[in-house]
Amino acid sequence: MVYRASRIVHSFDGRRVLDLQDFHVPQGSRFALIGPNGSGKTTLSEILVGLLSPEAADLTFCGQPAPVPFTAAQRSRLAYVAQQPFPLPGRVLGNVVLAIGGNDSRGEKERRALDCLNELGIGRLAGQTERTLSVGQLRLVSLSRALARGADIWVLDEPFAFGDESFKRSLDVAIAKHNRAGGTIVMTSCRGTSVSKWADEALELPPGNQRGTV
Amino acid sequence: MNAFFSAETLQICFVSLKTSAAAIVAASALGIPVALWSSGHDFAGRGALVTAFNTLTALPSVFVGVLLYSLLSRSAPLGSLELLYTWPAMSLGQTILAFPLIVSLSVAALNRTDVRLRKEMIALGVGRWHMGWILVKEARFGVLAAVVAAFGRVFTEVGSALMLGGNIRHATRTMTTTIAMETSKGNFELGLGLGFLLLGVALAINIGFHRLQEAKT
Repeated sequence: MVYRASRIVHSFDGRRVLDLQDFHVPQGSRFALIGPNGSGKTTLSEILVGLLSPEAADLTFCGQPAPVPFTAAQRSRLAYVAQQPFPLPGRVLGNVVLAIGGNDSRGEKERRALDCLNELGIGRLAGQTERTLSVGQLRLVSLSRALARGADIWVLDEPFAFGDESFKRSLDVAIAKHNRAGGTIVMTSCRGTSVSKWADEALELPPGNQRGTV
Repeated sequence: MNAFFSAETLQICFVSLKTSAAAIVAASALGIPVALWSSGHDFAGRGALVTAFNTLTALPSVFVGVLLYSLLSRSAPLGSLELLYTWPAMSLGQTILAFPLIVSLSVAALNRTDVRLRKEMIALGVGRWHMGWILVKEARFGVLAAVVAAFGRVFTEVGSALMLGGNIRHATRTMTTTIAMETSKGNFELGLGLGFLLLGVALAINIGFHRLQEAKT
């Protein structure tokens, strides 16, 4: 199991936004988190990548306790694409290089970063500053960082929202390729129909503070 | 007027600039990492720590002077360093004055950066030092404003410079200590002239910082 928890609870300002029981995501699965706005999808996504400390949880990540923030070893296995990625200062290529660890030369890392950008069809953006990109382009850049990291577990928050057809095709191809290679994908969506055909497992999050079920 | 346009005036300007510049470099090197740490961590007492730094921005320079004097004088614990009445002692006093101002204003600037930037970098696995560098770049206008404000404070202070430097001619005489001395001697013209010169130098430095900010936009 990539993730396992008997319970995950979180509240904001005393309002319970998440209360899940028996949550588990198998290795190599395409797991969808479906629910309306305000159902806690982004909250759960952030908990799953160690950006948010839940109010109460016994979450394990790949069999190990999941601290906040995650350990470097745990983080190296994860890639997160936020619903609205924040543009990093500087140029796209340099920021994709940021995601690549190891002791390779800068030139080698840049070549790898450019390959990842080209794979998603956005190699032409390499020299642009991130501040000049649209939300859709930022998502693809964020996804290219996921590719560059070589992470086997992707958590994608509403990846298909706001994107045009070409963006969706690029994303579909990247996700399918990653999954064929044995990677795990956790994806949130407020539109159940659009992801139900894609996912092999799904969790419906109810609105507000009711309990979710697998 | 001859006393004003002299090599000695230039030397006094140089001592002032050298002392304040060293203090600002030291206070920035210490203060900006502390600000990054304070703004990036939730810990018990964080609010109290930030309040303490805010309070210390009003630290009286004569108090810093007395404090360091009691540590640096010949029979004091740090007397063996023989720093008293040297420009490094003045610079040390100014560093103590500038440090809380840089921390306090930099924390405010860093807290204004978008929380999503921090999250994006954590999710990317960006190293701590690299993340700090990116956050400082993101908050550069506020951080630079903190450095400028701190420079203004130390460049124009007289209390600790007088106590720790001793206003020694050709050694620790600064623009402010000279103004105080000349005014006490009744040389108001020279005192005023040096005062305007001090303002002119401060203006030139601020224009330089402003250009730097514009260039980075």
